[in-house]
Amino acid sequence: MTSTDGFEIAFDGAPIPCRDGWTIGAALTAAGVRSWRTTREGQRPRGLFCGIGICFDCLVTVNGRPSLRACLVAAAPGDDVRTQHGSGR
Amino acid sequence: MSADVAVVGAGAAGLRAATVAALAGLSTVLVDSYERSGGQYYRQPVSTPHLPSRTQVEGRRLVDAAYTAGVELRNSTSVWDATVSPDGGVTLRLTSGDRLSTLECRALVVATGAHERVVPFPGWTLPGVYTAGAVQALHKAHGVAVGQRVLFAGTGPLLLVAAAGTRAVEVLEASRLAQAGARHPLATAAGLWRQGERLREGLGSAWRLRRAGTPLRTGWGIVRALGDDRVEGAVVARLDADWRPVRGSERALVCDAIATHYSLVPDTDLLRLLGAAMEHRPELGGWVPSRGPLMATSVPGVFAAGDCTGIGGAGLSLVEGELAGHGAVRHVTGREPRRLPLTALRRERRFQRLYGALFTPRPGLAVLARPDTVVCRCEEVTRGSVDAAMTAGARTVSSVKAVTRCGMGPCQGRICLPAVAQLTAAGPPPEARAPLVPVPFEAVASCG
Ligand SMILES: Cc1cc2nc3c(=O)[nH]c(=O)nc-3n(C[C@H](O)[C@H](O)[C@H](O)COP(=O)(O)OP(=O)(O)OC[C@H]3O[C@@H](n4cnc5c(N)ncnc54)[C@H](O)[C@@H]3O)c2cc1C
Ligand code: FES
Repeated sequence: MTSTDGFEIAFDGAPIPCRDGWTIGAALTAAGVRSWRTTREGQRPRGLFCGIGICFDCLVTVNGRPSLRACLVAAAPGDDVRTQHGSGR
Repeated sequence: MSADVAVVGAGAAGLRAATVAALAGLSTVLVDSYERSGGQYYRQPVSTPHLPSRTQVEGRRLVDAAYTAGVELRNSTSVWDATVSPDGGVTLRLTSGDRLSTLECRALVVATGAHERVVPFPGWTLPGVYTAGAVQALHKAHGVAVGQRVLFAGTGPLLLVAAAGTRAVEVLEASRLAQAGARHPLATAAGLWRQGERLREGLGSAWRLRRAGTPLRTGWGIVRALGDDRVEGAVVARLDADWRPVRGSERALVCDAIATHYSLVPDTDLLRLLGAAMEHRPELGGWVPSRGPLMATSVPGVFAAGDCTGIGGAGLSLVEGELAGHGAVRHVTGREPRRLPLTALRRERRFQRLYGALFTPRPGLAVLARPDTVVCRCEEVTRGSVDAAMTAGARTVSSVKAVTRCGMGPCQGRICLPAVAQLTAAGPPPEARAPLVPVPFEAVASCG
Protein backbone atom coordinates (compact mmCIF):
# COMPACT_ATOMS: atom_id res chain seq x y z
CA MET A 1 0.00 0.00 0.00
CA THR A 2 1.17 3.50 -0.67
CA SER A 3 0.43 6.49 1.50
CA THR A 4 -2.21 7.78 -0.92
CA ASP A 5 -4.55 4.85 -0.21
CA GLY A 6 -7.53 6.06 1.75
CA PHE A 7 -10.12 4.53 4.04
CA GLU A 8 -12.66 5.72 6.56
CA ILE A 9 -13.01 5.66 10.30
CA ALA A 10 -16.01 6.87 12.32
CA PHE A 11 -15.94 9.63 14.90
CA ASP A 12 -19.07 9.66 17.08
CA GLY A 13 -20.77 8.02 14.12
CA ALA A 14 -19.64 10.48 11.43
CA PRO A 15 -17.28 9.30 8.67
CA ILE A 16 -13.70 10.66 8.80
CA PRO A 17 -11.36 10.18 5.84
CA CYS A 18 -8.05 8.60 6.73
CA ARG A 19 -4.78 7.63 5.07
CA ASP A 20 -2.56 4.64 5.49
CA GLY A 21 -0.04 5.26 8.25
CA TRP A 22 -2.05 7.96 10.01
CA THR A 23 -2.74 7.94 13.71
CA ILE A 24 -6.30 8.50 14.96
CA GLY A 25 -5.13 11.95 16.14
CA ALA A 26 -3.79 12.87 12.69
CA ALA A 27 -7.05 11.80 11.00
CA LEU A 28 -9.23 13.80 13.41
CA THR A 29 -6.96 16.84 13.11
CA ALA A 30 -6.96 16.67 9.31
CA ALA A 31 -10.77 16.56 9.42
CA GLY A 32 -10.84 19.73 11.52
CA VAL A 33 -11.82 18.01 14.78
CA ARG A 34 -9.92 19.65 17.66
CA SER A 35 -11.26 17.90 20.77
CA TRP A 36 -12.50 14.38 21.61
CA ARG A 37 -12.38 14.23 25.36
CA THR A 38 -13.80 16.16 28.32
CA THR A 39 -11.95 16.43 31.60
CA ARG A 40 -13.14 14.70 34.80
CA GLU A 41 -13.48 17.82 36.96
CA GLY A 42 -14.21 20.79 34.72
CA GLN A 43 -15.72 18.89 31.76
CA ARG A 44 -13.44 20.95 29.54
CA PRO A 45 -12.70 19.86 25.94
CA ARG A 46 -9.26 18.48 25.16
CA GLY A 47 -7.49 17.01 22.15
CA LEU A 48 -3.91 16.72 20.95
CA PHE A 49 -1.27 18.64 22.84
CA CYS A 50 2.24 17.09 22.89
CA GLY A 51 1.64 14.83 19.88
CA ILE A 52 4.21 12.25 21.02
CA GLY A 53 2.56 10.27 23.80
CA ILE A 54 3.79 12.18 26.84
CA CYS A 55 0.91 14.40 28.02
CA PHE A 56 -2.06 11.94 27.91
CA ASP A 57 -4.37 14.81 26.93
CA CYS A 58 -5.51 13.11 23.72
CA LEU A 59 -7.26 10.13 25.37
CA VAL A 60 -10.06 8.66 23.30
CA THR A 61 -12.24 5.54 23.18
CA VAL A 62 -11.55 3.31 20.16
CA ASN A 63 -13.67 0.23 19.43
CA GLY A 64 -14.87 0.28 23.03
CA ARG A 65 -11.40 0.53 24.59
CA PRO A 66 -11.17 3.75 26.65
CA SER A 67 -8.16 5.96 27.37
CA LEU A 68 -6.06 5.24 24.31
CA ARG A 69 -3.66 7.97 23.17
CA ALA A 70 -4.96 9.25 19.83
CA CYS A 71 -1.50 10.58 18.92
CA LEU A 72 0.01 7.07 19.05
CA VAL A 73 -2.74 4.66 17.98
CA ALA A 74 -2.63 3.85 14.27
CA ALA A 75 -6.00 4.20 12.55
CA ALA A 76 -7.46 1.08 10.95
CA PRO A 77 -10.33 0.89 8.45
CA GLY A 78 -13.69 0.99 10.19
CA ASP A 79 -12.38 2.07 13.60
CA ASP A 80 -15.22 3.28 15.83
CA VAL A 81 -13.80 6.35 17.60
CA ARG A 82 -15.86 7.94 20.39
CA THR A 83 -15.57 11.09 22.47
CA GLN A 84 -14.49 10.15 25.96
CA HIS A 85 -16.10 11.75 29.01
CA GLY A 86 -14.06 11.73 32.22
CA SER A 87 -12.14 8.46 32.62
CA GLY A 88 -14.35 6.82 29.98
CA ARG A 89 -15.35 3.93 32.24
CA MET B 1 16.01 -12.34 30.36
CA SER B 2 19.51 -11.00 30.78
CA ALA B 3 22.19 -9.14 28.83
CA ASP B 4 25.67 -7.76 29.43
CA VAL B 5 24.54 -4.26 28.52
CA ALA B 6 21.06 -2.75 28.42
CA VAL B 7 20.44 0.61 26.78
CA VAL B 8 17.22 2.56 27.33
CA GLY B 9 16.30 4.93 24.50
CA ALA B 10 16.93 4.31 20.79
CA GLY B 11 17.72 7.90 19.86
CA ALA B 12 21.09 9.21 18.69
CA ALA B 13 22.79 8.52 22.04
CA GLY B 14 21.29 5.08 22.72
CA LEU B 15 21.82 3.73 19.19
CA ARG B 16 25.47 4.75 19.24
CA ALA B 17 26.08 3.39 22.79
CA ALA B 18 24.45 0.04 21.97
CA THR B 19 26.45 -0.28 18.74
CA VAL B 20 29.74 0.28 20.58
CA ALA B 21 28.86 -2.32 23.21
CA ALA B 22 27.75 -4.93 20.65
CA LEU B 23 30.86 -4.37 18.51
CA ALA B 24 32.93 -5.16 21.62
CA GLY B 25 31.26 -8.57 21.63
CA LEU B 26 28.85 -7.96 24.51
CA SER B 27 25.24 -9.11 24.41
CA THR B 28 23.33 -5.83 24.14
CA VAL B 29 19.61 -5.06 24.34
CA LEU B 30 18.23 -1.68 23.26
CA VAL B 31 14.77 -0.81 24.60
CA ASP B 32 12.54 1.98 23.29
CA SER B 33 8.91 2.94 23.92
CA TYR B 34 8.25 3.77 20.29
CA GLU B 35 7.49 1.37 17.51
CA ARG B 36 10.25 2.89 15.40
CA SER B 37 13.86 3.54 16.37
CA GLY B 38 15.70 6.84 15.99
CA GLY B 39 14.43 8.94 18.89
CA GLN B 40 13.14 12.47 18.47
CA TYR B 41 15.47 13.49 15.68
CA TYR B 42 16.22 10.34 13.69
CA ARG B 43 12.84 8.60 14.06
CA GLN B 44 12.20 6.44 11.01
CA PRO B 45 9.03 7.12 9.01
CA VAL B 46 6.12 4.67 8.90
CA SER B 47 6.32 4.14 5.16
CA THR B 48 9.52 4.70 3.23
CA PRO B 49 9.19 8.00 1.38
CA HIS B 50 10.28 8.25 -2.23
CA LEU B 51 12.78 10.93 -1.31
CA PRO B 52 13.99 10.37 2.24
CA SER B 53 15.41 13.48 3.94
CA ARG B 54 19.08 13.66 4.90
CA THR B 55 18.10 13.16 8.54
CA GLN B 56 16.14 10.04 7.66
CA VAL B 57 19.08 8.63 5.72
CA GLU B 58 21.47 9.32 8.60
CA GLY B 59 18.99 7.76 11.00
CA ARG B 60 18.62 4.69 8.80
CA ARG B 61 22.40 4.27 8.88
CA LEU B 62 22.48 4.50 12.69
CA VAL B 63 19.75 1.88 13.07
CA ASP B 64 21.38 -0.40 10.48
CA ALA B 65 24.75 -0.10 12.23
CA ALA B 66 23.19 -1.19 15.54
CA TYR B 67 21.40 -4.07 13.87
CA THR B 68 24.50 -5.25 12.01
CA ALA B 69 26.59 -5.04 15.17
CA GLY B 70 24.19 -7.53 16.76
CA VAL B 71 22.16 -5.26 19.03
CA GLU B 72 18.81 -6.78 20.01
CA LEU B 73 16.28 -4.01 19.37
CA ARG B 74 13.17 -4.16 21.52
CA ASN B 75 10.75 -1.48 20.36
CA SER B 76 7.26 -0.66 21.66
CA THR B 77 8.70 -1.51 25.08
CA SER B 78 8.97 0.86 28.05
CA VAL B 79 10.93 0.66 31.26
CA TRP B 80 8.49 1.26 34.11
CA ASP B 81 10.70 0.30 37.07
CA ALA B 82 14.37 -0.34 37.77
CA THR B 83 16.40 -1.48 40.77
CA VAL B 84 20.10 -1.83 41.44
CA SER B 85 20.83 -5.43 42.44
CA PRO B 86 23.03 -6.18 45.45
CA ASP B 87 25.57 -7.90 43.14
CA GLY B 88 26.05 -4.69 41.15
CA GLY B 89 23.81 -5.27 38.14
CA VAL B 90 20.55 -3.54 37.34
CA THR B 91 17.11 -5.11 36.94
CA LEU B 92 14.76 -3.34 34.52
CA ARG B 93 11.01 -4.00 34.52
CA LEU B 94 9.53 -3.69 31.07
CA THR B 95 6.02 -3.30 29.70
CA SER B 96 5.01 -3.88 26.13
CA GLY B 97 1.30 -3.53 25.58
CA ASP B 98 -0.18 -5.82 28.22
CA ARG B 99 2.94 -7.99 28.47
CA LEU B 100 5.44 -7.56 31.29
CA SER B 101 8.99 -8.86 31.56
CA THR B 102 12.25 -8.21 33.38
CA LEU B 103 15.71 -7.63 31.99
CA GLU B 104 18.85 -8.08 34.08
CA CYS B 105 22.01 -6.37 32.92
CA ARG B 106 25.56 -5.87 34.18
CA ALA B 107 25.82 -2.32 32.81
CA LEU B 108 23.07 0.12 31.90
CA VAL B 109 23.16 3.13 29.58
CA VAL B 110 20.31 5.58 30.13
CA ALA B 111 19.61 7.60 26.95
CA THR B 112 16.00 8.64 27.52
CA GLY B 113 16.28 12.03 25.77
CA ALA B 114 14.22 15.10 26.58
CA HIS B 115 10.70 16.42 26.26
CA GLU B 116 9.37 19.86 25.52
CA ARG B 117 9.04 22.46 28.26
CA VAL B 118 5.72 24.26 28.19
CA VAL B 119 4.97 27.29 30.29
CA PRO B 120 1.33 27.65 31.41
CA PHE B 121 -0.49 30.80 30.22
CA PRO B 122 -4.21 31.60 30.33
CA GLY B 123 -5.92 29.55 27.63
CA TRP B 124 -3.10 27.04 27.12
CA THR B 125 -5.49 24.13 27.74
CA LEU B 126 -7.80 25.16 24.86
CA PRO B 127 -7.98 22.66 22.00
CA GLY B 128 -5.81 24.13 19.24
CA VAL B 129 -2.86 24.90 21.51
CA TYR B 130 -0.06 22.43 20.75
CA THR B 131 3.56 21.97 21.56
CA ALA B 132 5.83 22.92 18.68
CA GLY B 133 6.96 19.29 18.55
CA ALA B 134 3.38 18.11 18.04
CA VAL B 135 2.93 20.50 15.12
CA GLN B 136 6.21 19.34 13.62
CA ALA B 137 5.35 15.65 14.11
CA LEU B 138 1.89 16.01 12.51
CA HIS B 139 3.43 17.80 9.57
CA LYS B 140 6.50 15.61 9.13
CA ALA B 141 4.97 12.19 9.76
CA HIS B 142 1.45 12.72 8.40
CA GLY B 143 1.48 15.83 6.23
CA VAL B 144 -1.31 17.24 8.41
CA ALA B 145 -1.53 20.98 9.20
CA VAL B 146 -3.04 22.03 12.53
CA GLY B 147 -4.46 25.26 11.15
CA GLN B 148 -4.44 27.95 8.48
CA ARG B 149 -3.01 30.66 10.75
CA VAL B 150 -0.68 29.19 13.33
CA LEU B 151 1.03 31.36 15.94
CA PHE B 152 4.43 30.09 17.13
CA ALA B 153 5.64 31.43 20.49
CA GLY B 154 8.35 30.33 22.91
CA THR B 155 12.07 29.75 22.64
CA GLY B 156 14.46 27.38 20.89
CA PRO B 157 15.48 26.34 17.39
CA LEU B 158 12.66 23.80 17.11
CA LEU B 159 10.19 26.69 17.06
CA LEU B 160 11.73 28.03 13.86
CA VAL B 161 12.14 24.64 12.25
CA ALA B 162 8.53 23.66 12.99
CA ALA B 163 7.23 27.07 11.83
CA ALA B 164 9.08 26.84 8.52
CA GLY B 165 7.05 23.78 7.60
CA THR B 166 3.60 25.19 8.40
CA ARG B 167 1.24 28.08 7.75
CA ALA B 168 2.68 30.37 10.40
CA VAL B 169 1.07 33.75 11.00
CA GLU B 170 3.88 35.00 13.28
CA VAL B 171 6.87 33.52 15.05
CA LEU B 172 7.69 35.00 18.46
CA GLU B 173 11.07 34.03 19.91
CA ALA B 174 11.44 35.18 23.53
CA SER B 175 15.22 35.36 23.32
CA ARG B 176 16.77 38.45 21.73
CA LEU B 177 19.06 36.37 19.59
CA ALA B 178 20.90 39.30 18.08
CA GLN B 179 21.73 40.81 21.45
CA ALA B 180 23.03 37.52 22.82
CA GLY B 181 25.22 37.29 19.74
CA ALA B 182 26.52 40.81 20.20
CA ARG B 183 27.20 40.29 23.87
CA HIS B 184 29.02 37.03 23.30
CA PRO B 185 30.39 37.48 19.79
CA LEU B 186 33.25 35.10 20.52
CA ALA B 187 30.97 32.45 21.97
CA THR B 188 28.77 32.73 18.93
CA ALA B 189 31.66 32.45 16.53
CA ALA B 190 33.30 29.61 18.44
CA GLY B 191 30.05 27.77 18.95
CA LEU B 192 29.14 27.93 15.31
CA TRP B 193 32.60 27.07 14.10
CA ARG B 194 32.35 23.89 12.01
CA GLN B 195 28.61 24.00 12.51
CA GLY B 196 28.00 24.42 8.81
CA GLU B 197 25.17 21.94 8.75
CA ARG B 198 23.31 23.42 11.69
CA LEU B 199 23.78 26.89 10.30
CA ARG B 200 22.43 25.80 6.96
CA GLU B 201 19.37 24.23 8.64
CA GLY B 202 18.73 27.39 10.66
CA LEU B 203 19.25 29.72 7.71
CA GLY B 204 17.05 27.51 5.57
CA SER B 205 14.19 27.84 8.06
CA ALA B 206 14.62 31.61 8.40
CA TRP B 207 14.75 31.97 4.64
CA ARG B 208 11.60 29.94 4.08
CA LEU B 209 9.75 32.01 6.71
CA ARG B 210 10.85 35.23 5.09
CA ARG B 211 9.84 34.02 1.66
CA ALA B 212 6.41 33.15 3.06
CA GLY B 213 6.23 36.68 4.49
CA THR B 214 5.97 35.43 8.09
CA PRO B 215 7.09 38.03 10.64
CA LEU B 216 9.76 36.69 13.01
CA ARG B 217 10.02 38.79 16.18
CA THR B 218 12.68 38.27 18.83
CA GLY B 219 12.03 39.49 22.38
CA TRP B 220 8.29 38.86 21.98
CA GLY B 221 6.02 36.24 23.57
CA ILE B 222 2.48 35.03 24.07
CA VAL B 223 0.44 36.35 27.02
CA ARG B 224 -2.82 34.41 26.61
CA ALA B 225 -4.84 32.36 24.15
CA LEU B 226 -8.33 33.58 23.23
CA GLY B 227 -11.40 31.43 22.55
CA ASP B 228 -14.12 29.48 24.37
CA ASP B 229 -13.91 25.89 23.17
CA ARG B 230 -11.01 26.24 20.73
CA VAL B 231 -8.33 28.75 19.85
CA GLU B 232 -9.58 31.86 18.04
CA GLY B 233 -6.76 34.27 18.73
CA ALA B 234 -4.01 35.33 21.11
CA VAL B 235 -2.67 38.30 23.00
CA VAL B 236 1.06 38.79 22.50
CA ALA B 237 3.49 41.30 23.98
CA ARG B 238 7.07 42.50 23.97
CA LEU B 239 9.15 40.87 26.74
CA ASP B 240 11.62 42.57 29.08
CA ALA B 241 15.07 41.14 29.82
CA ASP B 242 13.48 38.66 32.28
CA TRP B 243 10.92 37.64 29.65
CA ARG B 244 8.10 39.38 31.53
CA PRO B 245 5.47 40.98 29.23
CA VAL B 246 6.01 44.75 28.98
CA ARG B 247 2.85 46.55 30.06
CA GLY B 248 1.31 48.56 27.22
CA SER B 249 2.93 46.51 24.45
CA GLU B 250 0.11 43.92 24.28
CA ARG B 251 -1.66 43.36 21.00
CA ALA B 252 -4.33 40.86 19.94
CA LEU B 253 -4.12 38.78 16.79
CA VAL B 254 -6.34 36.25 15.06
CA CYS B 255 -5.09 32.68 14.74
CA ASP B 256 -6.66 29.21 14.65
CA ALA B 257 -3.83 27.32 16.34
CA ILE B 258 -0.93 28.05 18.67
CA ALA B 259 2.36 26.14 18.83
CA THR B 260 4.45 26.78 21.90
CA HIS B 261 7.49 25.44 23.71
CA TYR B 262 10.29 26.84 25.80
CA SER B 263 13.25 24.64 24.93
CA LEU B 264 13.49 21.12 26.35
CA VAL B 265 13.64 19.36 29.73
CA PRO B 266 15.97 16.36 30.23
CA ASP B 267 14.02 13.14 30.91
CA THR B 268 15.69 12.03 34.13
CA ASP B 269 12.98 9.87 35.81
CA LEU B 270 14.85 6.61 35.34
CA LEU B 271 18.11 8.10 36.60
CA ARG B 272 16.40 9.55 39.69
CA LEU B 273 14.60 6.26 40.31
CA LEU B 274 17.99 4.50 40.32
CA GLY B 275 19.27 7.04 42.85
CA ALA B 276 21.82 8.75 40.59
CA ALA B 277 23.22 11.98 42.11
CA MET B 278 21.70 15.01 40.38
CA GLU B 279 22.73 18.66 40.03
CA HIS B 280 20.65 21.70 39.09
CA ARG B 281 21.93 23.32 35.89
CA PRO B 282 19.36 25.72 34.40
CA GLU B 283 21.49 26.26 31.28
CA LEU B 284 21.31 22.50 30.58
CA GLY B 285 17.54 22.35 31.11
CA GLY B 286 17.21 21.79 34.88
CA TRP B 287 18.12 18.72 36.93
CA VAL B 288 20.80 16.59 35.29
CA PRO B 289 22.91 13.65 36.50
CA SER B 290 26.42 14.30 37.80
CA ARG B 291 28.82 12.34 35.65
CA GLY B 292 32.42 11.17 35.69
CA PRO B 293 34.64 10.05 32.82
CA LEU B 294 32.97 7.91 30.15
CA MET B 295 29.56 9.24 31.19
CA ALA B 296 29.43 7.24 34.45
CA THR B 297 26.75 8.35 36.91
CA SER B 298 27.17 8.04 40.69
CA VAL B 299 25.55 4.57 40.55
CA PRO B 300 28.18 1.92 39.66
CA GLY B 301 27.48 0.38 36.26
CA VAL B 302 24.96 3.06 35.25
CA PHE B 303 25.94 5.45 32.46
CA ALA B 304 23.95 8.33 30.96
CA ALA B 305 24.24 10.05 27.58
CA GLY B 306 22.44 12.50 25.32
CA ASP B 307 19.69 14.98 26.03
CA CYS B 308 18.66 13.26 29.30
CA THR B 309 21.92 14.60 30.75
CA GLY B 310 21.47 18.17 29.49
CA ILE B 311 20.11 19.63 26.26
CA GLY B 312 22.84 19.51 23.65
CA GLY B 313 21.44 18.39 20.31
CA ALA B 314 21.81 15.35 18.12
CA GLY B 315 25.53 15.88 17.45
CA LEU B 316 26.48 15.87 21.13
CA SER B 317 24.14 12.93 21.78
CA LEU B 318 26.01 10.83 19.21
CA VAL B 319 29.39 11.62 20.78
CA GLU B 320 28.20 11.06 24.35
CA GLY B 321 26.54 7.80 23.29
CA GLU B 322 29.84 6.54 21.94
CA LEU B 323 31.62 7.47 25.18
CA ALA B 324 28.92 5.84 27.34
CA GLY B 325 29.14 2.68 25.20
CA HIS B 326 32.88 2.50 25.96
CA GLY B 327 32.10 3.14 29.63
CA ALA B 328 29.70 0.21 29.74
CA VAL B 329 32.21 -2.04 27.95
CA ARG B 330 34.93 -1.12 30.41
CA HIS B 331 32.60 -1.76 33.34
CA VAL B 332 31.76 -5.26 32.11
CA THR B 333 35.12 -6.39 30.65
CA GLY B 334 37.70 -4.17 32.32
CA ARG B 335 39.04 -3.33 28.84
CA GLU B 336 40.19 0.28 28.37
CA PRO B 337 38.82 2.01 25.25
CA ARG B 338 41.35 2.83 22.55
CA ARG B 339 40.14 5.82 20.54
CA LEU B 340 37.75 8.37 22.01
CA PRO B 341 36.03 11.18 20.05
CA LEU B 342 37.36 13.95 22.28
CA THR B 343 37.76 16.62 19.58
CA ALA B 344 34.16 16.13 18.52
CA LEU B 345 33.12 16.28 22.19
CA ARG B 346 34.80 19.68 22.66
CA ARG B 347 33.19 21.02 19.49
CA GLU B 348 29.71 19.86 20.48
CA ARG B 349 30.13 21.23 24.04
CA ARG B 350 30.75 24.67 22.51
CA PHE B 351 27.45 24.41 20.66
CA GLN B 352 25.76 23.28 23.88
CA ARG B 353 27.04 26.34 25.76
CA LEU B 354 25.80 28.66 23.04
CA TYR B 355 22.42 26.95 23.06
CA GLY B 356 22.17 27.42 26.84
CA ALA B 357 23.14 31.09 26.60
CA LEU B 358 20.43 31.78 24.04
CA PHE B 359 17.50 29.58 24.98
CA THR B 360 17.38 29.14 28.78
CA PRO B 361 13.90 30.23 29.98
CA ARG B 362 13.91 33.30 32.24
CA PRO B 363 11.92 33.80 35.49
CA GLY B 364 9.54 36.46 34.08
CA LEU B 365 7.53 33.71 32.34
CA ALA B 366 6.14 32.72 35.77
CA VAL B 367 3.81 35.77 35.77
CA LEU B 368 1.82 34.44 32.80
CA ALA B 369 -0.33 31.93 34.75
CA ARG B 370 -3.17 33.69 36.65
CA PRO B 371 -4.78 32.26 39.81
CA ASP B 372 -7.49 30.50 37.76
CA THR B 373 -5.08 29.16 35.10
CA VAL B 374 -4.82 25.37 35.14
CA VAL B 375 -1.18 24.43 35.75
CA CYS B 376 -1.51 20.62 35.89
CA ARG B 377 -3.47 19.58 32.80
CA CYS B 378 -4.08 16.02 34.03
CA GLU B 379 -5.43 16.76 37.51
CA GLU B 380 -6.77 20.25 36.66
CA VAL B 381 -4.86 21.95 39.47
CA THR B 382 -4.80 25.76 39.20
CA ARG B 383 -2.01 28.22 39.82
CA GLY B 384 -4.11 29.49 42.74
CA SER B 385 -4.02 26.07 44.46
CA VAL B 386 -0.27 25.82 43.95
CA ASP B 387 0.23 29.32 45.40
CA ALA B 388 -2.05 28.46 48.36
CA ALA B 389 -0.04 25.30 49.07
CA MET B 390 3.13 27.36 49.06
CA THR B 391 1.63 29.99 51.36
CA ALA B 392 0.65 27.13 53.68
CA GLY B 393 4.28 26.04 53.86
CA ALA B 394 4.96 23.74 50.89
CA ARG B 395 8.50 24.65 49.84
CA THR B 396 9.57 22.00 47.35
CA VAL B 397 8.11 20.54 44.18
CA SER B 398 7.48 17.26 46.02
CA SER B 399 5.51 18.90 48.83
CA VAL B 400 3.41 20.97 46.39
CA LYS B 401 2.71 17.73 44.55
CA ALA B 402 1.64 15.93 47.74
CA VAL B 403 -0.72 18.74 48.82
CA THR B 404 -2.33 19.64 45.47
CA ARG B 405 -2.05 16.41 43.39
CA CYS B 406 -0.29 18.56 40.78
CA GLY B 407 1.89 16.17 38.77
CA MET B 408 0.14 12.99 39.99
CA GLY B 409 -1.75 12.30 36.73
CA PRO B 410 -0.80 9.96 33.89
CA CYS B 411 1.88 12.28 32.46
CA GLN B 412 3.72 11.85 35.78
CA GLY B 413 4.32 15.57 36.02
CA ARG B 414 6.40 15.70 32.83
CA ILE B 415 4.33 18.62 31.57
CA CYS B 416 3.60 20.62 34.76
CA LEU B 417 6.43 19.99 37.22
CA PRO B 418 9.09 21.98 35.35
CA ALA B 419 6.72 24.96 35.58
CA VAL B 420 6.05 24.32 39.29
CA ALA B 421 9.80 24.16 39.86
CA GLN B 422 10.00 27.74 38.52
CA LEU B 423 7.54 28.83 41.23
CA THR B 424 9.03 27.06 44.26
CA ALA B 425 12.35 27.96 45.81
CA ALA B 426 15.21 25.66 44.88
CA GLY B 427 14.77 22.31 46.59
CA PRO B 428 15.84 18.76 45.88
CA PRO B 429 14.72 17.30 42.55
CA PRO B 430 11.23 15.77 42.71
CA GLU B 431 11.28 12.13 43.72
CA ALA B 432 10.77 9.61 40.91
CA ARG B 433 8.48 6.67 41.61
CA ALA B 434 7.55 3.54 39.71
CA PRO B 435 5.64 3.06 37.51
CA LEU B 436 7.40 5.57 35.26
CA VAL B 437 4.76 4.89 32.60
CA PRO B 438 1.20 3.69 33.22
CA VAL B 439 1.10 -0.13 33.47
CA PRO B 440 -1.92 -2.45 33.70
CA PHE B 441 -2.94 -2.46 37.36
CA GLU B 442 -3.10 -6.26 37.71
CA ALA B 443 0.43 -6.39 36.34
CA VAL B 444 1.87 -4.12 39.00
CA ALA B 445 0.08 -6.05 41.72
CA SER B 446 1.43 -9.37 40.49
CA CYS B 447 5.00 -8.02 40.36
CA GLY B 448 4.81 -6.85 43.97
C1 LIG C 1 9.72 16.93 20.10
C2 LIG C 1 11.19 17.12 19.79
C3 LIG C 1 11.57 17.49 18.49
C4 LIG C 1 12.91 17.69 18.17
N1 LIG C 1 13.23 18.09 16.90
C5 LIG C 1 14.53 18.32 16.58
C6 LIG C 1 14.90 18.77 15.28
O1 LIG C 1 14.04 18.95 14.40
N2 LIG C 1 16.22 19.00 15.01
C7 LIG C 1 17.19 18.77 15.97
O2 LIG C 1 18.39 18.95 15.72
N3 LIG C 1 16.88 18.34 17.20
C8 LIG C 1 15.57 18.13 17.54
N4 LIG C 1 15.25 17.74 18.81
C9 LIG C 1 16.32 17.54 19.78
C10 LIG C 1 16.97 16.19 19.46
O3 LIG C 1 15.96 15.22 19.49
C11 LIG C 1 17.97 15.79 20.45
O4 LIG C 1 18.99 16.71 20.61
C12 LIG C 1 18.64 14.41 20.16
O5 LIG C 1 17.96 13.67 19.20
C13 LIG C 1 18.64 13.67 21.45
O6 LIG C 1 19.00 12.34 21.27
P1 LIG C 1 18.88 11.35 22.47
O7 LIG C 1 19.40 10.06 21.99
O8 LIG C 1 19.49 11.92 23.69
O9 LIG C 1 17.31 11.24 22.82
P2 LIG C 1 16.01 11.05 21.93
O10 LIG C 1 16.28 11.14 20.51
O11 LIG C 1 14.99 11.92 22.54
O12 LIG C 1 15.60 9.52 22.24
C14 LIG C 1 15.21 9.09 23.51
C15 LIG C 1 14.40 7.82 23.37
O13 LIG C 1 14.24 7.25 24.67
C16 LIG C 1 13.02 6.61 24.72
N5 LIG C 1 12.59 6.47 26.12
C17 LIG C 1 12.49 7.45 27.07
N6 LIG C 1 12.07 6.94 28.24
C18 LIG C 1 11.91 5.61 28.04
C19 LIG C 1 11.49 4.54 28.88
N7 LIG C 1 11.16 4.72 30.17
N8 LIG C 1 11.42 3.30 28.35
C20 LIG C 1 11.76 3.07 27.04
N9 LIG C 1 12.17 4.05 26.21
C21 LIG C 1 12.24 5.30 26.70
C22 LIG C 1 12.10 7.50 23.92
O14 LIG C 1 11.04 6.73 23.40
C23 LIG C 1 13.01 8.05 22.82
O15 LIG C 1 12.84 7.36 21.60
C24 LIG C 1 13.90 17.51 19.17
C25 LIG C 1 13.52 17.12 20.46
C26 LIG C 1 12.19 16.92 20.78
C27 LIG C 1 11.80 16.52 22.19
S1 FES D 1 -1.03 14.41 22.50
FE1 FES D 1 0.16 14.13 24.29
S2 FES D 1 -0.12 12.01 24.67
FE2 FES D 1 -1.15 12.28 22.78
